[in-house]
Amino acid sequence: MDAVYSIIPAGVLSQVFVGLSRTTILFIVASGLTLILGVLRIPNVAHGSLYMIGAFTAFTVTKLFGGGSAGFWLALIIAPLVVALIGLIAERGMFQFLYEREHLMLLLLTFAFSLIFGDLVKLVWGGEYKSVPVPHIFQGFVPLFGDLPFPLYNLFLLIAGPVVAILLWLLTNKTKMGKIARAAAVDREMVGAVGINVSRVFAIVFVIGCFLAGLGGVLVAPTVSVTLGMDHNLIIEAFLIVIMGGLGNIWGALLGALIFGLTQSLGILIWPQFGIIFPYLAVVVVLLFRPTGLLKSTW
Amino acid sequence: MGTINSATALAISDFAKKEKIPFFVTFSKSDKIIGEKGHRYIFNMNENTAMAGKAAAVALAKKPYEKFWIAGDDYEYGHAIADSLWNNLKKLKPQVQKVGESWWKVGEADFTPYITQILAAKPDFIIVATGGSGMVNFQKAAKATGLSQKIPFYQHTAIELSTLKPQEQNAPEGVFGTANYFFYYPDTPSNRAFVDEFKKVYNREPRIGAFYGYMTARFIAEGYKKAGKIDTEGLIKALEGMSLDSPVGPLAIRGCDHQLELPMYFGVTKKDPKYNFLVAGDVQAIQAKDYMPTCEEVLKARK
Repeated sequence: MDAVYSIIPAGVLSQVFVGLSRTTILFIVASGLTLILGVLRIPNVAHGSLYMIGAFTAFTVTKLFGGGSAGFWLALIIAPLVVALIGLIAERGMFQFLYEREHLMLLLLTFAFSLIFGDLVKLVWGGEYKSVPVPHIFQGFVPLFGDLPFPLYNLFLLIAGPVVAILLWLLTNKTKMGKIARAAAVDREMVGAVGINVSRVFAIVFVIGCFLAGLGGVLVAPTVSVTLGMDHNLIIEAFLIVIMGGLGNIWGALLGALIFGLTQSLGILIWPQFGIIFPYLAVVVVLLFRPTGLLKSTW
Repeated sequence: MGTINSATALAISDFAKKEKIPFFVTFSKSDKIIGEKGHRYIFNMNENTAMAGKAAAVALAKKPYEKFWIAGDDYEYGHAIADSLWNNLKKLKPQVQKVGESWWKVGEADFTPYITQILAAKPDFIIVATGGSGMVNFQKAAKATGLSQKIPFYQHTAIELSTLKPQEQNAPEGVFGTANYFFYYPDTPSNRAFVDEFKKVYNREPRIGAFYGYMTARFIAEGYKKAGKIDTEGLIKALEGMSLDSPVGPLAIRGCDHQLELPMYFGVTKKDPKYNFLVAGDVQAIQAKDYMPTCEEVLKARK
């Protein structure tokens, strides 16, 4: 490793890996957002709320099963499903009637949903901070680069990110459903004209998008305090990532999340006092040169 | 009485001043409330950023640390608390030096990149000026990265129940903090009586907000009793300099600026077999006179 450190210092490598683990959460949430945006054309502001509900559900499930590791792994399965169910109800009960409306109208509607969800979370879980413990096997840290400690849970995130990306790739490219969804994103009337039940495809895509928001919520829960307001912080970042990557493009979301995560962690290394501005500067630079996003937008 | 957000407190304070209505601030921490924007009708029933920073400086000046890193939420509360701590610390111990600073946005979810960077810079001690949910977020990240075992750090309210209880046994040990109230300290009959009564009504332990609220209500009630009638000017006169017994001992409202004279507790997080969460250990009380700005300082700021 010493040879590597002579080219890239351990501190920089460590920041890159930390940035990549943050990228995982951002990518999972943003991919759900962009999927819904690309196929259903809904700019879902409530996506952040679903992420928050995922985190709160993870807290409840973990608590129910004794607050230990087993609870967390169960939460990893149950919480995204709960969020997906909420998504299904919202789509069948509301959004399926509104696909023809203008985007502004949908934006306002989903914004209203984000406020309603926020209040519902407060009613159900209360206003106190909640905390989900890191599962036992990922507690602690390893000296990954030199003597700089790297949290084990972040290593787990580094594995989870690519797994989700591969599953999404298989889903969109290798399944019939994925192919229909991609076709519907380009021309929904044509897809309907060849006898495909577009409404059902839309419902499935919406549910998958919500599932991803919930999954992001569970994965982030052990690293933060689960609290009201975590939705608003994330949704802004997720939208910027989606816009930077190209609306509706999952790989754009991946690229955007990578840029966002890495500029943040490396920005902190260069100028810790003003570390927060680097991801936003990156967004400005990208949009200056590629106003429609880095990759092909489906809009 | 009330308000958590300092901007709200200042807005209401302005209204209270114009309408001549007494306003008791019970949670907002900006030192402008009682200082720069203070007036006759405002009463500050909690500590503020200037006081917390100075109390921590008094305690930290006695520790052997010299190379400090300052980090915090990039908004008024974060900067105000860090500035107060740092300026007071420099006065008390001139040889301290600042190695660097990092500031993150309010509500930052992931502190790991900030912490790994600070670890690489190897300071002796970190002043962490976070508030709200950032308290728990930072402690979780400090534990996950091993920061809490490598470099000691201080957060105002780090040792408070609202920060430690949600994390149960998983909060980091050895974190320095300051707070005005614990349900388990001081272990006196009057505190035990307050805790028992509170538990009967709310079925949980009182946290700091309950203590501020309780004392405020008692001061208002006793103030009217002493004034003998429901009258604003009479109430204000009655409260100036009034002292009441409290769960943490006798507390007085300072006449010159209407600041409640609270003792501040400095301590460090540690496990206790009696509780399923971490508590404050090695608690040392810093008396109000040792860390409150003087009457002259406050009144000068008001001009």
